[in-house]
Amino acid sequence: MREKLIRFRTTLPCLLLLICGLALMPGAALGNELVPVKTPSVSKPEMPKVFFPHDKHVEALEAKNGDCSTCHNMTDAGMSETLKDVTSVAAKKQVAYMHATCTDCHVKAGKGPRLVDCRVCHSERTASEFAGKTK
Amino acid sequence: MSELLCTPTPVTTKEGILELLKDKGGAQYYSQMKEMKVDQEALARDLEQTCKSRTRTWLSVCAHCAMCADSCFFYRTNNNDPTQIPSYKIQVTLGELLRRKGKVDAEFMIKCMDAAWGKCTCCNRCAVYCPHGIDTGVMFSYLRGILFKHGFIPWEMKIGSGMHRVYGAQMDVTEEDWIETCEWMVEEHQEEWPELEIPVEKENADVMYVLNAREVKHYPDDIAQAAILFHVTDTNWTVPREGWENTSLTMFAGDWEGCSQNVKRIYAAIDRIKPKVVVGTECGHAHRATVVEGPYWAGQESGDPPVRFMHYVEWVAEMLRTGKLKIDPAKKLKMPCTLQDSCNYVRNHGLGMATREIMSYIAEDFREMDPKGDHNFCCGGGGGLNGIGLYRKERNIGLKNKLDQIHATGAEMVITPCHNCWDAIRDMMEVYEEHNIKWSFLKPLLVDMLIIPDHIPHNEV
Amino acid sequence: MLDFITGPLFIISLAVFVIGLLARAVMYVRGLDARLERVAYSYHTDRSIPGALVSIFKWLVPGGTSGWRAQPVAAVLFFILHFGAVLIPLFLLGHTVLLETYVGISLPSLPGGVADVLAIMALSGLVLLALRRLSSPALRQLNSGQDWLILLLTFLPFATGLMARFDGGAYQTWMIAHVLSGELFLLLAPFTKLSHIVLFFMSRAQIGMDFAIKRGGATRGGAFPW
Repeated sequence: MREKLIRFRTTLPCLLLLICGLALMPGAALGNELVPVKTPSVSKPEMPKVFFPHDKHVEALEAKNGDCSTCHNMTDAGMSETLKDVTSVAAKKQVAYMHATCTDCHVKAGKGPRLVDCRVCHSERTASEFAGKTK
Repeated sequence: MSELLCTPTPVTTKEGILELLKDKGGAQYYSQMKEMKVDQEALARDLEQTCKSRTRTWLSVCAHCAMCADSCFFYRTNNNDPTQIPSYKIQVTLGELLRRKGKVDAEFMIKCMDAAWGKCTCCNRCAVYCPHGIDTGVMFSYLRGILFKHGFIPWEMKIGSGMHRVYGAQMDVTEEDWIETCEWMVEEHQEEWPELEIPVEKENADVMYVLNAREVKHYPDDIAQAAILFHVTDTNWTVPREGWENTSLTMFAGDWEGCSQNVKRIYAAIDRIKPKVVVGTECGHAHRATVVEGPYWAGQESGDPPVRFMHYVEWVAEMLRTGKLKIDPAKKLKMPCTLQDSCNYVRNHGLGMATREIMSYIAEDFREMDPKGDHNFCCGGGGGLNGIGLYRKERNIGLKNKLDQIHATGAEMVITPCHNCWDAIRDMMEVYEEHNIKWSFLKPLLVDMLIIPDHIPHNEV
Repeated sequence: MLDFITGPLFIISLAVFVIGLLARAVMYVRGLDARLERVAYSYHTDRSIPGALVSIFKWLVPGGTSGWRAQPVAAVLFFILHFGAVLIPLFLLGHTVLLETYVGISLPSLPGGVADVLAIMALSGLVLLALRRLSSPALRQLNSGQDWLILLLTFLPFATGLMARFDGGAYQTWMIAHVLSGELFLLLAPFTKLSHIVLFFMSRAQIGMDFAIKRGGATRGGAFPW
């Protein structure tokens, strides 16, 4: 087999390298997951849906030695997927709850969008990009 | 130049009036005015004490939108000259006066006088067309008051104010002249109307009649006609001996003290005679000065006169409506007629309905002016302008607007129950050489068309 | 810095706006003088109250008065500006969210499409009004610095707001500019001709009362036919 220029010994490591590289690319990688915010449900949304950069928040929390309970309540069925007490607030006050709770933390932390940065969270571009990819 | 004619002091003597009258056209008077010193401190104090939030807000909140421009006949007849926009006119005079806190000179005050009397008749039409409801006419009237106090008023206004203060009338008509004229008119018409009379100072009469000194001095037939109309309607009427004249050149002059004296004189007559109702002659500004503004000058807090006080057109409308005055249908006006809405009692007192009611009885072909009623234009000569020689040219230009309105109706006769409007229309026909349009007060027309009740003795003469 | 601009500075601007305009209104009423102005303000309320209301409301309707009908261009520009200039600050979703969070007041919000149209109309109105100021010989005689100032003060929040809303790029920069220009508007309103926000109602009520109490209210048979 003198004609085989590309040999198995070089191909496999290259392929592995490629896969790792692709895995580390921004956008589709574990470190930049954008979670669509589904609670509260808004019947007639005037603004683009919010896609929450969960990983970024996890990183920021870990840097301050925080944990999941900062944002998620523990229930009998396990950790809730929604932000703190949003589901126990009256339906029409849930949006206000989200706004206030998220931005309060950003103000305390000194970074992150404030309530005037509407379209940083409600980004038309992001929402249309992830339109088909809701989990 | 012997006499100091131009001073801030009002004229209060016969001699003072005569001195002014001797100065033909006010030549000395105006030249002295240029040298008159402005008491800046007093001026500042006057402004501080009398110019409050209504006027100050009007001046500061004006949006400079120019919606008042086209509402003003001066603007229209002067080729849309921007310096004739009501907002502009008042801002460069009163506005500036306030900004400078009275620190101005005679030249500035004269400029204010030129605007207050030569560029505004205080018709208040601009108030109707301003989104903020800014009444520039009221502001110019206020400015006139300030100018009067400091002596910067037209010559004829100074004389007129003096006349009222001395004679209790706009002209030199004494009480004797007045009573004699009444007696003369009764005599003149006694043959035709045997039971005609003009009762003087009859207590508890139903109607007290007050009039314009012009009628006594120049148009006494008007008095006779008024008497005849009261006679045929069986009106229990009288005239006062004192307080018989309800015009107010003092109002045109900005002489508020004089205005107050006039009104109080008339209200004192009401007090003496105790009529049920007072009726004023066909004069617009008389009504404004005595019934609309008057109560305030007389200290009536409610703003109402002490007793029901009608303009002549209200009385006529009532007489026609109740059938006390009947019109011979054969004698109704057949020619196309239009109606002048005198600013002072139509826009400023809502009597446009009364005049139209009258027209429905007396005219077969009544054409409204456009605009009409509360939105109609000033005749062009109101606010004293008809009588001010210094601004005759400006007035004559302004008259064109009303003449155009009249022409547009196609009318051959203008009914104009107001002395100033009557004069303005007479003058515009002359100035613009229009010989085919007539104009008239109501009284002569009514006397000609009325049906004499059977019980009123009458002889054909 | 951003926290200051969107927090305390916003509250201060809003407070200056509300208290300042209230003060202007109170000062106006206290400065009225029945004797000097010859209007018996406290009498004939059966006429003066309807008179004041008619005087205000007829002018709030497009073409509702002879004045508006006589000046159709000015009227159209005025209304396309003011519909947006009044409705958007109060009922834009972005604003109602802020109002709810900071002040606790819940106002209904405009649908997005409607808000867009109103804002573009308002901006066009402002531009056209500015052009009218430049081109009309009548207005050129009257224009003053204050007139241009309030046009600019109103233009900036709308322009920056729209730039942010269309999210083209530099979103947060436009947002900060919008917040600052909005706060400038609020801070200066009581001290400029923007005070017409309350003084319009004051002066219109006054003239309505004047005509109702004194100039024909008793004889005309109804309020003045503006």
